[in-house]
Amino acid sequence: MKKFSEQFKKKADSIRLRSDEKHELRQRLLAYMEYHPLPESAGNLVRNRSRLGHTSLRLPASWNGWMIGRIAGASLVLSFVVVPALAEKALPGEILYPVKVRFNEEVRGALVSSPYEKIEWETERLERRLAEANLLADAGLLTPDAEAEVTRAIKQHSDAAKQSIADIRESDSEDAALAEIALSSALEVQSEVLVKREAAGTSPAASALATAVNEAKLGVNLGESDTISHQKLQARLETETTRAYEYFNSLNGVIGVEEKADVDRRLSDVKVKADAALALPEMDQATSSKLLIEALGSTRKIISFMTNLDVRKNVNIEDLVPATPTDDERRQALRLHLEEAETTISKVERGIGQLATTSSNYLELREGLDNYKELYNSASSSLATNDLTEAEQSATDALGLARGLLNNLIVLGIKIEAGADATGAIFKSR
Amino acid sequence: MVGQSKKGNIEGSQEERFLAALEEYGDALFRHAFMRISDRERAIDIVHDTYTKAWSYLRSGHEVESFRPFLYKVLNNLIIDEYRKRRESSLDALLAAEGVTEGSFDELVEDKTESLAATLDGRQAFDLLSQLPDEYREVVTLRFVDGLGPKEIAELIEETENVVSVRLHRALKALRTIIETGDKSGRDKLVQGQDLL
Repeated sequence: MKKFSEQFKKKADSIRLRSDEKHELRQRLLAYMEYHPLPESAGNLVRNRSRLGHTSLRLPASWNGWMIGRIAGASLVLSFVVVPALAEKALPGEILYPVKVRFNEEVRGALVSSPYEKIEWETERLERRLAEANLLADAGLLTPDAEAEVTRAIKQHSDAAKQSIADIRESDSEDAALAEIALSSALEVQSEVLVKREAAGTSPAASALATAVNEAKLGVNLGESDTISHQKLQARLETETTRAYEYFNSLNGVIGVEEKADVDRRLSDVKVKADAALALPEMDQATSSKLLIEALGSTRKIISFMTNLDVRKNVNIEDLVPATPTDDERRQALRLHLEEAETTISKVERGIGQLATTSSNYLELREGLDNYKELYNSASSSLATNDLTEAEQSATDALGLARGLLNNLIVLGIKIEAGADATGAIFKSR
Repeated sequence: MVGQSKKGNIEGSQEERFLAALEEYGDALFRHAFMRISDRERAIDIVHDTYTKAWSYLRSGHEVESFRPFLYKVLNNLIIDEYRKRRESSLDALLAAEGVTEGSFDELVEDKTESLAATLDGRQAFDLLSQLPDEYREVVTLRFVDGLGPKEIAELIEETENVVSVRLHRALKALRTIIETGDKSGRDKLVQGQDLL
């Protein structure tokens, strides 16, 4: 038995996590813990408070310095640990809110070391203010005073971020441009959140908040492609996508399977775009950089979506980062476009048949029909040769023209017979 | 093993203890999961889920006094869920096919588990373990890989010690059958047993 156990155990012991697997597992769990922190011990504080309320202020004679020291220590813990910890969840108008924005956040801001981190932090503060305003609005508690306070804060934080960008631009224009991409993406996400909330009626239309965010967006550009070196862009994209995948891996149970698949699709799109950028020849660096900047902006938005509950609650990932259609999807869409164009043009054909062949309207529409044929043929042949961009252009033009011709007939008072659509398409045989 | 938190500021210590439990038991839990489901990626995911569930338990205000049994319990439940998803046949049905009620000590009297194990080559048995039904693999892994005694196993899988002993005995016997009759015929025999269900 002993021998069996030893042999068995020895074999089993060879099964273990590789160091990379162990590291990844740890990272995934740390990310999970970070986004699902242990609850603040509010109950404890309440108990502490009630105890303090019943404690006599007279110090018993038996208390020595050691005891007073302990109380002083406890007070310090209360002032610098417990109260700030509770304040983190405070909303505008609450007693602890000033502690959150004027103590907690200022201390955290003072701890960031690089200018880039400072910009990130100011951006996060701006996002926090908007999330607070949305929470209050959801609860029907967003008073004009609270809204004004948040509006002021948005301006203050966006100004601070812009000022930091301007400061680092003097010494490092590349870093400044990268920071600008981050800020621009964050503001676009917040703007989209407000647009969606206004549309859903959860935030007032044309609110001061939306105005403040739109004003903050002014003067923030999505990185000039010639400002940042290709190498730096690649490095930043690598860092951001690594971060994005770490968050993605910790999403289990946080969002639904379908939503997770949507995020996965966007992350894959980013990768496709980055690969496409890197595959471009060296002389086409401008296009390559442009693609990398787009990929970077998308990654930042995807991260916002994954990490910010307020964003997830209000917008779909498609609103922030529309999926890039695959070639198959593009071909499918093209075929649908062309089918619709053919159905429309068959109605036009029937309508034209009701006009006198010598009338100027007939001649003009006939010419339009000839143009349509050219566009349709061009789209079809481009589709056949897999030149999808050209095919999309021609198909869009063909469909637009077909609709325009049909509108002209309607304006002329021509009635299009119904029910002939099935036999209608005139160019299908081509 | 577990209970509602009675202490005040335990968050820091709970976090540290939780991370220490990851360091200490991560490998063992992975080994256990991998031996049960034979899928490396899935085993890692299950270990991950085990720890996130434990963390959620802490977040809900509970305290875990001893992480090892707690983590094994969660892991075992997740593996059972995994098997349910894979629609594996149940042990009850398997036992019914064998025509024996689990819990009988008769065969143990004839052929004790210890003496049965003594006739087996541990290395060979290890390699053939994946051919056993999970219910057998579960007890063999808990006994010989995780080093748990019959009593601990019984608590973990919520069966009596008697059932655990019989199951362990049968698992070893099945391994011996596979070894003696060669991989294929032994496996066929097991499959036939399951086909009768």
